[in-house]
Amino acid sequence: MRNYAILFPAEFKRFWTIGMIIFAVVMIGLGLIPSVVMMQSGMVKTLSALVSSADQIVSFFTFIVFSAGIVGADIKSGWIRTLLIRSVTRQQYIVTKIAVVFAAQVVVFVLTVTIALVIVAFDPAVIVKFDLSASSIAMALKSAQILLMIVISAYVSCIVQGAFNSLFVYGCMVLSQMMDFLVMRKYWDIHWAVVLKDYIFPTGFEDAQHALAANMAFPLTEMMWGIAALFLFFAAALFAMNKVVVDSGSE
Amino acid sequence: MNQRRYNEIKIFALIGAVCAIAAAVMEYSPSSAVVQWQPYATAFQTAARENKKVYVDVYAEWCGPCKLMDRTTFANDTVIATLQNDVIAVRVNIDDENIGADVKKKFNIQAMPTSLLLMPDQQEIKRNVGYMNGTQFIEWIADTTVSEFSHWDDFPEAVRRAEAEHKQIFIVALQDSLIIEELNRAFRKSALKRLIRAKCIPTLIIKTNPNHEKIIHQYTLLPSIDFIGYLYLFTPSMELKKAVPLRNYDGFRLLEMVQQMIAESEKPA
Repeated sequence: MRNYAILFPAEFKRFWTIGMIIFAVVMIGLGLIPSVVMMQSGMVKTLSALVSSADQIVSFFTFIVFSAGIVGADIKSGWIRTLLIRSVTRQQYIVTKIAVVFAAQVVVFVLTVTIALVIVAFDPAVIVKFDLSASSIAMALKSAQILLMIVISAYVSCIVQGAFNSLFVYGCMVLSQMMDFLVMRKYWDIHWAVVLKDYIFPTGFEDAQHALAANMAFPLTEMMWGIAALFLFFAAALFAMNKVVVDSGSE
Repeated sequence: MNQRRYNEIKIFALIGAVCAIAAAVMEYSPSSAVVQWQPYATAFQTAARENKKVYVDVYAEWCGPCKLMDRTTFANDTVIATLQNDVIAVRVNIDDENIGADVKKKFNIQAMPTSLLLMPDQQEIKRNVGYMNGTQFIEWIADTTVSEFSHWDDFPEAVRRAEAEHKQIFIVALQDSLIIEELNRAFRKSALKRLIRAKCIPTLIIKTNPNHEKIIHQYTLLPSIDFIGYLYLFTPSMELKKAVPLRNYDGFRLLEMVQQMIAESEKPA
């Protein structure tokens, strides 16, 4: 634990370069526009709805940039070698990297929602209901889905060198949506296509969030799919991390 | 050291595998409940007696998305409970020579699956064309707050008020309720709402509503099916001042259109 306490703040500070801070500020600015417009037009009336819909557009860019080369970039720059020769284990390293990117995503998201609420507070025509329990659950599920994506991205980054890992993960998500579109319209009677559509990218936590937003029964199945994917990909990321060749003879 | 690392990986993988198996069992174990579809002939009487709305699923044997909805949406426990408890659920095969043909004509059905939500007097509340999964279906059926239109008067009341207040009658005439949610959002925008309330008495006419048939015929509304709807301005004595086909239904375009309609109608002849 002592290593994590030292490693996390150091890596978090290292993450926020000037370029990254400017990028995050721009993304928060871009994320504010749809959030404020949705509240002013009456499309979003509760905090939980804001949590579910805010950040939809910018999270695409923040995920790609924040998790690009999450491990691969450190291998290339030799930073991983510097850490591993200082009694930091590979497990501690990858857990810290995932935690740092996750924390950065959460910071951008929370700032977007908070600033949007502050802006609309000056407009007396806009009333947003603070449903704290529903918004906490929505926030937790959204965060879990983000964490899952970062874990997958970290796993891919251990295998693919450079910054293509996040693009690869996003490519899978787009492919999943394309499959969804094609199956609904054309290949609905091909059994394997229907199955593939469901399993091409894990979206258990996101599905659970949508189900709860629609007041459906507790989405235990979706949650279990999400947890299963999180643990399996985390195990895969740890395994892949152990196979990463840093520098022969340095550990 | 290495063995400890791999043991941890094995534990994480095992937890993931157990969760995946549990999820798969829950996902693919057949649900004991099924939707109890009511007969179409008595559905509206039952709905009136029980003060419920009527959900009509218009499907076809050859329609892929309809079959997918059968396997997924209508097998979902929450959907089944909603259809059993909150509405009178009816399904109509569009190829049925009697009921299917009747529903197709009456509700202007053009594609499958079409989901209709109707009042007991067969007035259309809303419709959706295409596949909806369980979550989308529950969101769709639960959101019946077409709030802006609920503040608008019925046609006879609008005519009476227009005469009393010397205002024009603003009619939104639609072929069906497919775009009603988008229109509701547009008409809720404050500038458009203020303009309409200040200058006219608004009313909504939907062609598929049995009560509106006579009005549409009497005032020759909706002359072309090429447009999803029309906007009309009538004088209190029901003399047509302006008619505009509805192409765009976003708030800003509508505001522009309505402003222009009102300005032109106020010009001296």
